[in-house]
Amino acid sequence: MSDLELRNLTLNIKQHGQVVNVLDDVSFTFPREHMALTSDKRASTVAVMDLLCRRLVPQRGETIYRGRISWPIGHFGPFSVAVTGTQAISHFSILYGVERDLIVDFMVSEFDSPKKLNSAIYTWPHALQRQFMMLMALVPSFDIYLVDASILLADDPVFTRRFLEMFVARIKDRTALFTVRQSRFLKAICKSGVVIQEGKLTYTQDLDQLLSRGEQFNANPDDLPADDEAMRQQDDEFLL
Amino acid sequence: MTDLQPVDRDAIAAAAARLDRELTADASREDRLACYARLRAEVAVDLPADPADAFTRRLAVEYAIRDIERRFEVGADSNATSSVWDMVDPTSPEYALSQTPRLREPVRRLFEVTEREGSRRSTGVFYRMRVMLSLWLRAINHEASQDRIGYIWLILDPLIHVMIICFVSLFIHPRNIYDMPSYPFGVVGACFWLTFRTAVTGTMFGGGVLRPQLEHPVIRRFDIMMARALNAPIVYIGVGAFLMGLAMWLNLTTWPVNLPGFMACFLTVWLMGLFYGTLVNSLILHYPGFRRVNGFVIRLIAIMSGLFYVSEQLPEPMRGLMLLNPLIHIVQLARTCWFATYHTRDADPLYVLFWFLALGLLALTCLTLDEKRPETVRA
Repeated sequence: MSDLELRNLTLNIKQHGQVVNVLDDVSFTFPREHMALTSDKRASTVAVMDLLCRRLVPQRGETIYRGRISWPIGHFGPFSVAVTGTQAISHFSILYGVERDLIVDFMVSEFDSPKKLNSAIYTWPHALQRQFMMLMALVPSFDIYLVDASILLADDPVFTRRFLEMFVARIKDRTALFTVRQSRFLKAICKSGVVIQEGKLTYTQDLDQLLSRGEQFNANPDDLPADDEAMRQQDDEFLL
Repeated sequence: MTDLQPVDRDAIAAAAARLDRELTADASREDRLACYARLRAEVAVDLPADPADAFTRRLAVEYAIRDIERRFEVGADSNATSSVWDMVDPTSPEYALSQTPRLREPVRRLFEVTEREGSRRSTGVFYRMRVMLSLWLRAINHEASQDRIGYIWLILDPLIHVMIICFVSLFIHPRNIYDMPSYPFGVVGACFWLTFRTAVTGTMFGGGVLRPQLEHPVIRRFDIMMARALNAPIVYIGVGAFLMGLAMWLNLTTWPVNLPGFMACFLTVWLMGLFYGTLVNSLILHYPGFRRVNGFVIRLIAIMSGLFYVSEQLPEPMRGLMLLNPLIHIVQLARTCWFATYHTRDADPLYVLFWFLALGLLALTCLTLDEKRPETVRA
C-alpha cells in the first residue's frame, strides 16, 4: 500500500522569468519506504518538495495522499522567527492537532535551553534555532516525511545522537523522502531513490549512482533564481 | 601591560579558585552563568580607584571565567560521540540507526499520540477558524516585533486614523450632518472605510509576511489572505466600539436602533474588501505595476464612499455618480441602522447584493486560476 501517488501530473515553475517544465504528465506511486530524491537541478528537487507539501499546485493532474504529509523539514519557512518559542508551539499545536502541553513537556525535556522558549526566536543563537526546528518536526505524527535538511549536525553530536534516535523511531514504517545532502547518512537510512529527469520520475535501487549525481550537484550549486520573498515582505508594508 | 602581568596572574588564580569552590563538576549552564554574574557584581562593587588597576581586576575575572568554561567544554566533549559519522556507520559501536531508542517519558507520551487523533483534531469549520486566527496572531506578532512599543501602535495607529477623519467631519459640519451628530457620523464612516481599506491591503499582496507559512501542508493560500484581512474587523470593531461608547457617554448618540443590521453591513464591507483585494492580487500577479493604479482607485473609492456626507445632500448629477460606488450604499444603510433620525432614500440593498455576488464570484475565479500559475521556487 502506498501513501503517496501522482496521477497524470504536470508541474511547471518559473525560472529567470521563463516557464520551466519539471514534471510532464507523470503518474508515479511512491512506495512506503525511505527514499532519496535527486535531480540535475536543485530547483526541480525543491519544486517537487513544494508540490508534495502543497505549496505548489500542479497545472494538471492530482496528488493523492493517503495520510498526513509533513512540511519540508529543514526549511525555516514554517517558523516565524519574530514569535517566541511558546507562541510557535501554540501555532503548531493548532495546525497539527497536538496538545500544547505535550509539546511543551517534550521541548523542556529535549531542547537544550528551555528557558529561551519564552523569548523571540530571532534572539536565539542559530544552533538553537536549528535545534528547535528539528525537534518541532518530531511533534506531529506524519505518514509521509519530506526532509530537506542535514540531519547530522557535526558541531552538536550530543543533540544529533538524541535526535537521530527519536527521528528513526518516528519515521519507522513510514514514507520518507530525503533530498541529497549527506550521502553517508542517506546510504545508511534509504533503500532506494527517485530521480527527476526530463520531466519524469524514475525509481531506482542503485543508491550509489543516485547519490553521486546528488553530490555532483552539491559541488556545483545552483541554478535557483533570486528569491522574491524579501520583496513580497516589503510589499506587505506598502500603504495606500 | 607587561608589568601588570604578575599581578594579573595572581588575580586570575584567585578568581578561578573561588569559582572552583562554588561550582560542582556537573553544574548546569544556568548555574554557571549565575555564579559568574555574582562574581562580576562583587568585583564591580570593590574596584580600586586607579582605572588601570580596576581594569586589571575585571580582566582577571574574565580570564578566570574563560578558564573554567573551557574545563566544562572539554568535559562535555569527552562525553560526546567522537564523530557524528560514526552514528550512521553500522560497524561503529556508536551506530544510532538500529538501536531501540531510550525515549524519555515526555517523548514517549508525545509519540503515543496517533496520527488518527491528530487528524481528528485538525478537521472541520472550527479548526479552519482557529488556523486563521493563529495565522493572524503570527502576522500581528511579526508586525509588533518591529518596534519596542509595537503592540501599542497596533491599536494607536487605527485609533488616530479614525479620529483624524472624525475631526475633518467635525470641521465641515460642527454639529449635525443630515440630522445625525457629526462625531458618531464620522466614526461610522471612518470605521467602515478603513475596514474596507485594511482588508484590501491585507489581501492584495497574497498574504505578505505569512507567505512562508504556505509550506505547512495544512495551510492554503486563501487561509493566509483571509488571516491578513482579519486584522480589519478585529481592529476596527474594537476602535469603533470604544469611540461610539465615548459618543454615548457624551450623550451624542444612543444605542443603535438595529444592531444586527449594522453588524451585517460591517461584515459586508469587510467581505467586499477581501474580494476586491483578491481581485487586485490577481491583477498584480499579471502586471505588478497595477498596485500603483490601485492606489488611485482606492483613493477614488474613498472620496465616493460617503465619509463626510450622505448622498441625499448632493445635487443630482453628482449624486448619481457617487451612488455608483456600492460602499456608499453600505455606509448609508449602516447609518440608518444606527441613527433613529436618519433613513436613507438612496441606498439600495439589491445594488449592494449585486456587487457583493459579482465581486465574490470574480475573486473566487481569480483565486482558483492563480493557484495553478507557475511559481518561482526558493532555496
